[in-house]
Amino acid sequence: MSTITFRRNLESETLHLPELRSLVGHSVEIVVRDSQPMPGFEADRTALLQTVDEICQRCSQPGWDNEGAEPILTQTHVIARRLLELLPNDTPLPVISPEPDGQINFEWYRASRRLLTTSISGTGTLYWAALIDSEDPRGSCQFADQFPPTLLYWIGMVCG
Amino acid sequence: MIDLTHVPPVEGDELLTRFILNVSEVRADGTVRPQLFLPYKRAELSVNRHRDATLEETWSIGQQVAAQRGKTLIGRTDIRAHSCCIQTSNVVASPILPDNPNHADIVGYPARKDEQLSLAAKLAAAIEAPWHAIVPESDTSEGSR
Repeated sequence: MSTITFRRNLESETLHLPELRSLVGHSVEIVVRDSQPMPGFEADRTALLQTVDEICQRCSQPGWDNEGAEPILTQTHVIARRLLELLPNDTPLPVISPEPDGQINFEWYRASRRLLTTSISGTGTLYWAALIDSEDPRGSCQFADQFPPTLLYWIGMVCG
Repeated sequence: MIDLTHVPPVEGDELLTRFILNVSEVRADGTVRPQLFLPYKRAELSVNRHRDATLEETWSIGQQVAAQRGKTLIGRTDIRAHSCCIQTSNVVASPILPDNPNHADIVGYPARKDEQLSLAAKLAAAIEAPWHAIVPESDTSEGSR
């Protein structure tokens, strides 16, 4: 997935995109992302959705890890599925695992110091942390039925 | 194992082991995932000091920990004590007497989940060697402090 980000003053409608009309005269950041679907993506996504279902089934009862883990609730399951469904088809798929606090973890990994780890909670809060060499951004965002742009940006930094 | 009657403070260059009890905590490329260093319910994370312990003794402690939790020991990964000192985190001796004087805790985890994830990712990234699967015989080339 290649991404180009640049900042410029939008002086005219030379891009011929009427959607940008309201921004003419503004300083804007333009992100251009190659959106060629990755071969086999949809099949892999379907398989991963099944993995999410299996994990949530296996971890639906308290103490599923023999150490007092909290169950993964239906709302957490629903949000994890939706997040995966909304992932653009040119984006690498994450590795998914349950967490003992009842959250679901999505990880994008390229190397030990090039990864994004995200925990999905039942309230829709997504807690994330990335390691990009010496940079260590982290934060949280609320899921609002679109794939969070912040996460997309960091996935691009990890996998791009 | 460390003398029960005199457990010294953890020194920076000491090698510590974190036992691996879940396959989801390791990767096929020999690295460990941040989940291995995420605390849950407790504000600290258990590790075991190699100091004055043979590898057999360290593996034996790992087997005991796994048995207590009804799990299978998958392996262990080693980290230097000084690598655990990141921002607010630190390592303190926390002997479990009389069985395990080598027990220690990584303490100082932040309360926020994103901060915990960040610290756990840094700890996982500080591991210098591939994790060791539970095959003690093939591991005897390593020394213990």
